[in-house]
Amino acid sequence: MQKLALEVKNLTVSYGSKTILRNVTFAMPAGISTSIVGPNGAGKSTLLQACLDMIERDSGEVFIFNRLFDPKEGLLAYIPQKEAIDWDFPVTVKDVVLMGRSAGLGWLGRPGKKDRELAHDSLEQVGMADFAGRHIRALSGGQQQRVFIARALAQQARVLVMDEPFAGVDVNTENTILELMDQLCDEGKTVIMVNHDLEILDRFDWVIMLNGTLIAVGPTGEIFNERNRQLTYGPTLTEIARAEEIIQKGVAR
Amino acid sequence: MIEAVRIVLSGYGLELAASMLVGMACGVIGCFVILRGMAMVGDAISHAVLPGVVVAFMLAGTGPLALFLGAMAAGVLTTVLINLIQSNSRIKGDSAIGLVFTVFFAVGVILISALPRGTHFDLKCFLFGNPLAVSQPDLWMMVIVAAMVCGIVFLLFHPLRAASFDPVMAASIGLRPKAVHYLVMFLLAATVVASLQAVGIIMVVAMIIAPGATAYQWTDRLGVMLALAAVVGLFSAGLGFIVSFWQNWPTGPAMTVVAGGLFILSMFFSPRYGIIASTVRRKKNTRHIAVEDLLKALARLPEFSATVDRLADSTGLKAERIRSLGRNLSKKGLIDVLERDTFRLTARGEEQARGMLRTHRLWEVLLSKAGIDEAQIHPMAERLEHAHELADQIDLALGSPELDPHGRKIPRKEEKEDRS
Amino acid sequence: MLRKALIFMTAAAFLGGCGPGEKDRSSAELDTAPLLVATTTIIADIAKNLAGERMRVESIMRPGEDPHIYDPRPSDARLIARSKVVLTNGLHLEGTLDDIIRNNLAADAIHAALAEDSRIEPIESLQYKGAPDPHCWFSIPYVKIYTDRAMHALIQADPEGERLYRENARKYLAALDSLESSTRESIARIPPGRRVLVTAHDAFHYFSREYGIKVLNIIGISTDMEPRPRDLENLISLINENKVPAVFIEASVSASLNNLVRKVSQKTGAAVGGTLYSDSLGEPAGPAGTYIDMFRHNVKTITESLM
Repeated sequence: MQKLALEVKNLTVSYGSKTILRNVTFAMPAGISTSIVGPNGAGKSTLLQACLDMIERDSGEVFIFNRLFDPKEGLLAYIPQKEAIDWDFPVTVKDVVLMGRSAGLGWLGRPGKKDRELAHDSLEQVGMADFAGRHIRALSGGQQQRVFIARALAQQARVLVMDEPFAGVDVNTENTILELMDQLCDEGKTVIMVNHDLEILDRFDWVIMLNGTLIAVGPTGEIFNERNRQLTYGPTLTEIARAEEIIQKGVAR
Repeated sequence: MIEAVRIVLSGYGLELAASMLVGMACGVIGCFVILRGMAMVGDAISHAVLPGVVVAFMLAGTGPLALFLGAMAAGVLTTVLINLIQSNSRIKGDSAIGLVFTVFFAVGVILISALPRGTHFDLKCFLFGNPLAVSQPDLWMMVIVAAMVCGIVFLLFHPLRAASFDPVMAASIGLRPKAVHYLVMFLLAATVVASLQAVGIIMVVAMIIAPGATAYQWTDRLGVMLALAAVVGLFSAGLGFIVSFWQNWPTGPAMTVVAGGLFILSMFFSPRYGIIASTVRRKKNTRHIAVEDLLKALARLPEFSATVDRLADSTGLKAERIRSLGRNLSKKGLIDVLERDTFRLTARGEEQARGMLRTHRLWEVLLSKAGIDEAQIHPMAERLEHAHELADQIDLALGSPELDPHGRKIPRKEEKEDRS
Repeated sequence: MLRKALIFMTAAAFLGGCGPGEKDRSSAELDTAPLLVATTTIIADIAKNLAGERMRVESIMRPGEDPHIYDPRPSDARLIARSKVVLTNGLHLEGTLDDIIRNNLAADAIHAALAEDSRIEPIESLQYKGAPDPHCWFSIPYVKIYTDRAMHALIQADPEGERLYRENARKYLAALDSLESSTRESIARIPPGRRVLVTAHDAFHYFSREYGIKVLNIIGISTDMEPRPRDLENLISLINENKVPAVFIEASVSASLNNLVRKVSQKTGAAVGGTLYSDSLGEPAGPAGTYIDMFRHNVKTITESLM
């Protein structure tokens, strides 16, 4: 049986009285790249954050490689959106990558020689070793993404989660990131991205289509069809919105 | 000034040491206050501790332990209340903070008026500090707080840094950002309380922020910033203390002014981020571009010469500027200044102009290969051509191309162009 | 838990304000007598000696309060409005009360600033140019003038009581004379080289001028000032140079200022000679409950420590 990198069961998340994700269930094998797509407000980032235990869930469980998700194991790495980072923070490229090593160190641990070597190797792998001493502001968009990917590699994570890596980034950077993604998947890592750009979906092995609920999940070729697209992006957004539509039609008559 | 140093060192060592310890603790925690955007919270804590202090005074007099515990209790209550308001009402951020601390302060003032009349609680000392009145027990409290702040920051440097830089990622690997937040708040509250005696409520925020802000001008790494801030804090407090003796100024404000002054100096003079350095760099860059545009313009013309007015037209620079640049270029031997306001390229000038042309055309090839839209290539190359350092790398990477995308020859590095 | 703490604190604040603020009414007769209000306990004591049963004497400040930084309350305004006579020190001692008095004084009430009299020659402050030192009550001859002024104010407000007031004044002045001579005797016993009085703030300049003792202080004539480092250092040097045997804390100034006095004592070897009463009387039951007792206490404390 192929190993399951990520398994989500009955995940429901609400904020106040509003339900953002309802009963999401799926299982994802290891070594593939997945794009999470859906319209605004579909709950894509929420799904990521719930998996990472960043936000409270109403119900549901998340399993990483058949174990309940425990952040201290460092199996899941998070690569942030550009906007979420303070680029003036006093850290260099190698400082950022070294943070990935904190997963196994606990509160009082300090990175040792091995950790530094691992960090260096990770930077090499993404082609940023020459930039180790640079301040993070001095990097281009693509270089910044690569540094955060290096951090995930240094963490020795097996699942990489990227939140809208293509936002505000040019075509060349996008290509760089996608190529890295392929490389990582070849090495057996699982890459999950929240992605808005439907044109590059064919670069991903799988797709998760979300819209408050899970519309469909599976290999891109099979799953990203007209019907599922309608259900995800179409006029019938949620069950409630559908009901609203019907009511309005009734009132108009 | 020397006299002041002598007086301080011989008679006020204890008070000086206490103030310097306060400066050091403030500097260290201040770095996190700056990076985590907590300055308003720091100000809030400094005011909100008043009712705690008054209650402690009522119950136990003026001992430092009582003061510390009372203030910390009020500080903790403040942060709990702020969080409560932010989570349970529509009031967020600054509004919640501003609301809570000023009300607490007012409660403190009312409590002072409710003290048995004649019990001599000196609000002024809390507002402005009273560093000269520091006694042995006070010094011990400051030693403990400074050691605690510096010790904890040192031991927990990596989780603190990770959680401050990227709390989401920190959470994802099990470093609890919420716990880090409460830890930082606690250290901040302890530092503020310890600093009340030295600089008072009103100025403690400056003592917390200024050393870290100064350090931030000089380094790109958090570890260095923390160490530097500790040193700057220590130094500001010490120097301020001595200056207050020199000029007979109130001591708390003197320390604050020195700390602020050091920041202003750094803001101007820091080599990496200072205003002066940036301005100089910018001017140099503008100049560099103007010079090269001038040379390039000359290189395109027959006889490699032209009048200043002609050059003004083609480069867009003002005639006055061209003349002054021209004087400089002439000294460097790149142009000759002829009669009737005419410049002509010398052989060396030609070489330089040719180098520029090479860079420009290499960039054009590179941009074209990168798939840049044809209409954009020339204007982009115009902007990039001044970056010569990469020209050789581009040449190598592209396999020494002969022609640019418009079919024009790319000058070789050692080639001398035919003058005819 | 949180709510309980909040309720407790608010309650404490309100109760605190209400509690010890009201004064006892001891005698039924006095309830109907006209009201005389004095700003400081010292002036109130002088007035009590003159007013007898004909007037009810109240003091705005309580024992131990510092007039330089006194924080007026709403009840003070009401008290002044109800008074027939208002006696203040003047010379800016009660700066915070000036406006309240001016705004609330009844049209037919008498207001006398006891120190603002042509017979009193004010000492000019060293720190505030042109500002006079208000601590005139440490010169007994000047307190006799205070008594005379107060007497005239009482007579003006209540002409029927003139005989009583004059008689009481005569008795009181005699007591003051006796205080004066015993004071001079005591001070004469201090060896000339040791006649230096070091206190927290500059309250004893008139005492100095009248009785021939040099005074040194940490801060100037108002406790509202910030202690300055150089001034502190100069004081310490002077104490060391003159081998002053003792320094004195004051009963009505803040704990931090008194701590500075103790610090001066540590740094110089001068002993803390005791507590002096400067801007206020002590508790009525204590050693400094009346002006005369207070003055005697101060002189005793000073002479014992300096001899």
